[in-house]
Amino acid sequence: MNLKHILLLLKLKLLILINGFIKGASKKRIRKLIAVAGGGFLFFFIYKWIFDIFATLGNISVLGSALIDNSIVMIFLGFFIFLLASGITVSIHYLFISSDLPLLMVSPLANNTIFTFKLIEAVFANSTFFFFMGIPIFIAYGFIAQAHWYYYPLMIINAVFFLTIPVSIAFLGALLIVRIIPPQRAREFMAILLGIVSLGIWLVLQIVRASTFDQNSQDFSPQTLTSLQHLSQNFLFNLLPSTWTARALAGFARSDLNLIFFNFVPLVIFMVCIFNICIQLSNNAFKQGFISSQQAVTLKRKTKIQQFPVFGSLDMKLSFSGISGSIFVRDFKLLFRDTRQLVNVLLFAAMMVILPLLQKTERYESEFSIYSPYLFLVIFSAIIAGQISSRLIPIEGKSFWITKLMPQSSLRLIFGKFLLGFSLSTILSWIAVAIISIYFHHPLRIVILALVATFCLSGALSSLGILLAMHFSRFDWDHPKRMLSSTGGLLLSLSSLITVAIIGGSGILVYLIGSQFQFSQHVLDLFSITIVLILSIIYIILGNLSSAKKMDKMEWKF
Amino acid sequence: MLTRITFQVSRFTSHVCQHSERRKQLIETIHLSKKYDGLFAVDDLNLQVDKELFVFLGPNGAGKTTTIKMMTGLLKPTSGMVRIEGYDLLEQPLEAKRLFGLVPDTPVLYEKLSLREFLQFIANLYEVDKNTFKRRFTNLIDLFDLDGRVDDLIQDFSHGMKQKSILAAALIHDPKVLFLDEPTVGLDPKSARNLKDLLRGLVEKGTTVFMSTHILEIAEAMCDRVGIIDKGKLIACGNMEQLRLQSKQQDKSLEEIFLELTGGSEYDEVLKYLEDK
Repeated sequence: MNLKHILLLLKLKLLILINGFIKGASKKRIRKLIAVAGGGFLFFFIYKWIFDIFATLGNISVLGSALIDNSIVMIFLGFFIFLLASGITVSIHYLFISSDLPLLMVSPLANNTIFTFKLIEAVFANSTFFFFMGIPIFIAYGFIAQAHWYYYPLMIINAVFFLTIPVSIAFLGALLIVRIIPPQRAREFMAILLGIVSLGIWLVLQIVRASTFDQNSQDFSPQTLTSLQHLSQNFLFNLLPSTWTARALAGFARSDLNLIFFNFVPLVIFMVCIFNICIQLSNNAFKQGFISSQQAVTLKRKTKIQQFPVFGSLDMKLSFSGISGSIFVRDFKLLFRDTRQLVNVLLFAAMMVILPLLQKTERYESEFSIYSPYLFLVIFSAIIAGQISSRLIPIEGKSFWITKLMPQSSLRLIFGKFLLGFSLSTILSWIAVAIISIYFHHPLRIVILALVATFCLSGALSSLGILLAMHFSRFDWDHPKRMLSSTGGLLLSLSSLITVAIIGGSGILVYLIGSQFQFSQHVLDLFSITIVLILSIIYIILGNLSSAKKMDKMEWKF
Repeated sequence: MLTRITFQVSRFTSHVCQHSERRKQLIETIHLSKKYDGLFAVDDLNLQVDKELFVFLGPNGAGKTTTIKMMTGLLKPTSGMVRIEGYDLLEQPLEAKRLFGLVPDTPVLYEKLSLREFLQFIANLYEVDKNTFKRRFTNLIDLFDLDGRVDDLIQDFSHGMKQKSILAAALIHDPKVLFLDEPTVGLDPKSARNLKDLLRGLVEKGTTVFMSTHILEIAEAMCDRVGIIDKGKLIACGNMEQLRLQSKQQDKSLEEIFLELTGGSEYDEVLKYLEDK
């Protein structure tokens, strides 16, 4: 391994990173400032959330400190699992798909230098999420434990050693996985796993609150408290690097040399070993022809049209005639054959059902408590309609010129896309309405209102999503979450909420005004539905027309 | 050392580069210009192309791709207009678009569609009827040697196969005008030869082919007329004979004429580098 070469490569990487931040138009700088402000807010939110949990646990007599330590063990375990999944995806990218790979492979660099650099790149790429989520947690822990000043730099060092372990294991995993499936496909499969892990973490965030551990709160869960209490008695937990890291952190916080020695030292030794094993195995694999610089190409196999269990038969049977129908079918195939998009849509669907179910309506006593889960669902389904539809423009990527070149009215082309976004989001939200209404045994009137509301708002938001996508698409980027520019993404979120407020608010307002005139409930419902429907139709017409106009004016510079 | 050719460049730029026959031209650009950040990528381009194979030459960044993108409506001109068989591309885009096909410089396609699905989609949007599609599909698949891969996803195709696929897509509606931007890049020698034969055959059957290329041998061997663009300006236009006549150098090849016109033969710099080495 040549340290000079590695430093040179890292310097280059750093330069690219700095250029990305410093250089660029003033407009982009403003966006970056907004992103930094948003990030700062989220950082503080995580800190506050964890601090409250730790403070609540700390108030439990005798057990308090042990419970906090066990929480930290669980948090590191969560990070470990997430980093394993994301590490494989990232490693596959850096080892087999990254565009600088051919350049590095033909340059006079030793193979282990290249692999070391690639592993460091993978660690670095994984560090963003870990540090963003982890640092506020570790700071909160430090404040609760009343740690000395040196805890704070040491917590970073501790975190870096920890981070390297799951990523190194993932790096090796990536080498094995691409032997079975091609890199592109492997990355997509790993994205599914990552999605599931993310959903798990999101669920934990929804369930675990400070009140879960507060004996005076309605949310108090004795089972969660007991599980947390008995965590340290599990032998397997003591063998995990995540446990060593958590305990080393506790050692730094309390200046406990015993804890530091028996946890931080094994952590460092293990990290050094796994890092070196990883480099050596990669190098050997390369020498034996296990992997090659051309693997991304040579491992590609003929991929027949994949049939997803749920959508497979539908995918094959879809063939609508007409221009909008052709666009509908094509975009449906593009959306559902891309595993990352499919996972994203499924995650949206799962969140649409789970989030309203978490609303414990039986505890609310007001007359509107019955509407609570549906209100949540309607807002959420509308936002998701906007999200799904906004992908239907950039999903074509750099091939969008083909659609633009077609000798057909832009309105018909746009309408095909709108139709797909609208029908898909309506179907998803109706499934969610059905599940929720069955779960809560709500009356038919409420269910019908929810169905109509989700139908109307899905239409309005689909139209809005497509309009914003026409203006802010990133055609050179295929990541499902970053297909719109950051400004576009922000505008979509804000305008979705505003649209829901305008349309939904108008419906509610009409209901409330009507109720002053002693109309029957059916008449009031009808009034509300009518106003919501009219406003949604206006949104749909204006959105589609504006999108088509934008498409006509748009210049293709890719 | 290459001999410097003295050229009267201004002769070619002051008037319209037109086809000999005076009638409705399939491709016509009138004072076509495109400005980016104050600089002209294409500057006052006047061209008439009709039922011929017209090759558009120029060094990198000369404005070839920008011109083709404006001719196909992918970019809006800063000034001037494009007509396809008399249809103004800005005023009557649908009528104009029905008449042409485009093969871009990079074959970006829908990776998650199979070739059959992709061609079917294109045919649907051009409203090609089912029987015609079936016939053309079979012919094009045979022509480009893509048999056996029609149901594979395009993501698994090589660069050359993608290039063939995009060619097939451009031809599926039997266009009157075919725009090709560097079509031979990525093609194997056999496919490149097939393409040359195909383009000549299409021209003989009445199709107008407008092609940009860097490969001067191809241009010299197969084109009816050549247009040379440099820094956005059309600096020469005509058939090989006319170019030689205009240059007053009867024995010069297209390569020499092109290099002299575009200032590409920096021979002194090459020599200096070799001496230093």
